[in-house]
Amino acid sequence: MNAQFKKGALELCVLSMLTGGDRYGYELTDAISKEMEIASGTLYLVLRRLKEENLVTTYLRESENGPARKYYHLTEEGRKNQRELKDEWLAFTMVMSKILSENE
Amino acid sequence: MNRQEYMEKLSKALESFGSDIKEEIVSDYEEHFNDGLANGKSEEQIISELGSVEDLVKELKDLSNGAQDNVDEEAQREKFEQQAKKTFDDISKAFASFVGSMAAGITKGAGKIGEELSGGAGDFAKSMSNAADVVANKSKQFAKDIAESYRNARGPVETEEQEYEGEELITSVAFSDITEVIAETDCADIVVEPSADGSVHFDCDYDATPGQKLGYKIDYHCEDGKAYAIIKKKSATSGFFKKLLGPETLYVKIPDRFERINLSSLSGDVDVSNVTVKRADLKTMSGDVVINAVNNKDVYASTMSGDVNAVNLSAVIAELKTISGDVEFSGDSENLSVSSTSGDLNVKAERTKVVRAVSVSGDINLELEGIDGYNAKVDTKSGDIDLFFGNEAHEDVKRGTYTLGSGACDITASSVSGDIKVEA
Repeated sequence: MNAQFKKGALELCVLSMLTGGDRYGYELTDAISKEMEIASGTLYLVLRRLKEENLVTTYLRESENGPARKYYHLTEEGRKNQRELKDEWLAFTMVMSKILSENE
Repeated sequence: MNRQEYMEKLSKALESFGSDIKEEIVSDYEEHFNDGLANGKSEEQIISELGSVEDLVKELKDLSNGAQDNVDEEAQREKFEQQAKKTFDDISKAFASFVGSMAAGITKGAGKIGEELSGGAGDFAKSMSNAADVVANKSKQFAKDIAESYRNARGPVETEEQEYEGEELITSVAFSDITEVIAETDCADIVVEPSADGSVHFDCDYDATPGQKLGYKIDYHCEDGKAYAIIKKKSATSGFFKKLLGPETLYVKIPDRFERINLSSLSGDVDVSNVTVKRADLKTMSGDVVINAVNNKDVYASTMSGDVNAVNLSAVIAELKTISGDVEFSGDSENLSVSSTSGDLNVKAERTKVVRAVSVSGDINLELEGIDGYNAKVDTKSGDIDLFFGNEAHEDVKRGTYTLGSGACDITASSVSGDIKVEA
């Protein structure tokens, strides 16, 4: 898959999963790897990038067992970005389905 | 490979990306291992889930392409600054030598004052002009170096900005003698309002950085009495690849008793209020269509995933469609057609002659006023059907055709799993 395309898709996945509340790395990567064949390592890179772009922030919180976990929190900007990317994605998939179905 | 070996390999491979990146990824991975083990996975399983270190390194390079550009730009700026500094140093040196030789010339001149005054003055003048030449040459070189470094460092950006400035100029225009408006947007909402001066106005607020605006075009023009406004990304999917920001709203002002408006948006809303138009075609893919206090001869409104909401709409023909949203209609229309696949249809209409309402899984509610009866052809597979007219009531009836009152208004309502209710 085209790296940029993949990046866009994964960013949207991660941002969307954070709209419902803060999550930690394993939770996010585990849920996404269940749906698609994707190296969890890639998702950590995506998370890092989202943080660099201020779309998410992170904080540490103690876990019941073991050391503190890093939680990801969606910023206002991230929320806005998620909506825009989602619209773009939906528009894109609609256009794709249209072209594919017209040329079957 | 076990956890320790994997983490050592990772750590080593990330060495070249700087300690911030390395430490962060290593700590993310350690946490992932802890959580994975706590969830009953083996170290091997977790390693295979995380993916190979080689792939990660490759992706780190791929995914940070954008950042890499920044690094390149940074490096170029640094190079430019170094060059500038070097040239400046050269000039300083040349200046020092100029001052030095001037001083030598003076000393020499002073030492031999009297007998060799003219000679000293000559030397002084000569050394001065030599030094001046050096400075002049250095300055020229300096200017050339700066120009070149600037071009190298800023070149492509400058071109793009120039290109962009040409387009940015117009966000607001007015056209006169227009009978038809055609507006297309991708993300922007389209809002139609009455115009005070008889002209058509297009206007959009555009608040974004030059970089975010790069991929957008705003095209306003008119041809044969038609005014066009097109606000779109240059490429439909470029938003995935580059962060772009278009105008949020396109405002369209039209004169009273206008001929025709044809508006379409991909994800924006289409909102028309307080105008009189002969024909309105309003389309959006994922936005809502909102119509308020509009007088139309014909209005065709459709959306895929949004709602259609028409209040105080007066139209001879009104056709309101959505796939997954609801349709609300209040007003009057001789010939009204409403449909939705999964949404509800709620209609409060006056003086209708023909009503068609089709939904698959939504309910249909029709409240009709100002009619002296209706003939209803109704059908639902699993919903209830209730029909009322004045004191007449047909409750919980089966599919079929029913005549109430004079039967003057022709109603067709069908749903698969929704209820149908008609009141008049």
